[in-house]
Amino acid sequence: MVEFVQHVINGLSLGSIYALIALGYTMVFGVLQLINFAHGDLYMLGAFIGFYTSQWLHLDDNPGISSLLIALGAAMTGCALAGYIIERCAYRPLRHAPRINVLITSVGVSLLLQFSGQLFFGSDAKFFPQLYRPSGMIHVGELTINPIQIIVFVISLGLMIILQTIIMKTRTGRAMRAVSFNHELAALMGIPTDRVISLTFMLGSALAGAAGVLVGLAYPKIEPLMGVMPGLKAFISAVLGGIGNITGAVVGAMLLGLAEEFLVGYWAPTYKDALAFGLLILILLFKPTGLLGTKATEKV
Amino acid sequence: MKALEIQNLSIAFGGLRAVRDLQITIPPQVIYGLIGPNGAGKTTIFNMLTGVYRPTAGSIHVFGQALIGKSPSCITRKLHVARTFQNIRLFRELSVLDNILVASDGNNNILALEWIFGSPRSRRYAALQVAQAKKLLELFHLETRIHMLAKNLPYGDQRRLEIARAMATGARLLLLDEPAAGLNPAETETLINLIRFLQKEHAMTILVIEHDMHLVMNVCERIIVLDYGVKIAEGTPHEIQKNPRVIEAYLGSEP
Repeated sequence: MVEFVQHVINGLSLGSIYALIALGYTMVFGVLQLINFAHGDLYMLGAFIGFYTSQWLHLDDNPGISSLLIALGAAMTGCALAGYIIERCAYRPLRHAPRINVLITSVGVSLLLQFSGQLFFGSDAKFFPQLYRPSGMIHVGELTINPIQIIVFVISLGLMIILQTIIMKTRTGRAMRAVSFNHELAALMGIPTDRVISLTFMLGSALAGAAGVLVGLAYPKIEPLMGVMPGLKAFISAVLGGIGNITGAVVGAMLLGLAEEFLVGYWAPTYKDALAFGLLILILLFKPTGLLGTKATEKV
Repeated sequence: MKALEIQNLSIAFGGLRAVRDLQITIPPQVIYGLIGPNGAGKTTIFNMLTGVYRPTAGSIHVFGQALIGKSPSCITRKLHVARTFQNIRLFRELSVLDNILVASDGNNNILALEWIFGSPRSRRYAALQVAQAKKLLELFHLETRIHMLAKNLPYGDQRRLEIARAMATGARLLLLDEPAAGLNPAETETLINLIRFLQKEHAMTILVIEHDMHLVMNVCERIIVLDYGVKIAEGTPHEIQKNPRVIEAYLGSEP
């Protein structure tokens, strides 16, 4: 039983990181019907921005929550800016091009980020500074919990609540929902669609940046190609939950995090990555719209 | 100043000249009708007036401001032109209230960040905006349905919500594309009164495309008749009813 609860905690912590990245995929898909394959690399960028900010400000000399929040803020701001630039330069000129062109461009942007990363950051792995050093494990009965996992989970949850508030309660969120329903119609009602799309990219990228720092905290090895696998898995999470659906992305990510953790814990650790892709195949076969996705039926 | 001034307007899709050398002048605060057989180019004109299509030639001025080349959102915001659609196009997944709020959101210069962090200014504005939206919905007899999703509304209510939403953008020139399509006679009567009310009490200039002749003849001060992209007649309802070219376009000429 103790072991089971332990796995649940690990799974939720891993899942919350997937969720932060998956939200970006699903939001961008919502407004542009685009799978932005460069999104996973923004998460890598976030980790490196966190890394260099910590180095520059010597944040690991006085570790603590405030240092962590500074690195988090820097990564989120940096990634939001990067997301804006990517959308402005790579995707906006293709706004009226066929969707496949934009998709291929996003693969190109992804490669650009990966290999620019190798060029500028070096291809060797770096050790992410310990911005938060727990004084020890938390013991609850027989259970041992790493405080970092709690922090990762709580910060992710906090960010998701903020995101949900923005989408449901603010003017910007309302405009995002309107644009995701129908671009042209939104424009005819006076919504500056380009600005709303930029904002969506910035929000999604900021979340990916936050995920980068949180991963650096929990698994402190970072390198320029680190975004590939979590990026793909977050994408799978988004599809699992129903792409375009905000709650779906979070549910899908948590399920994937838990599933991976249980697989590693109880059965065969080597199949960890295969599991995600296996799930993707199953969901595409049996429920292509995802768990929370609604069926899109065209009225003829 | 004229509410709408269209000069020598033409648009061609490939070889098809959908609208040719059109001249329309509409003074402020009147209701004009735009009629014609199917495919005459009526909706195409609306699409040019809202920036969806770019005309091949000609000019459009709304309250003195040039329209051609501006984006649809800019035309709605700055030139105060708003439209409804032949086949209802609401934000189906949003509530009735949100449909209105989305449209009235642009009428302020409060920054996105202020909304996100909820500055006092944005809160005050949001309260005012909701109050105005409710007033508008009351006018359209939708006040009891504000929290329903737009897609769950009965058909007639959806038609009225579309007009309310267009009003909420802050429009001065309202383009109604077949507002009575699919309405029963009682609903059409309500609509007629509503259109008149908007003109009188809200100082709206209204251009309405409609096939329901009862509505057109009762509501419009002047009517423009279009056939194959060319204006074939313009005048009061009375004049139009007697015009031989109009009768020919609608019924075909006698052999």
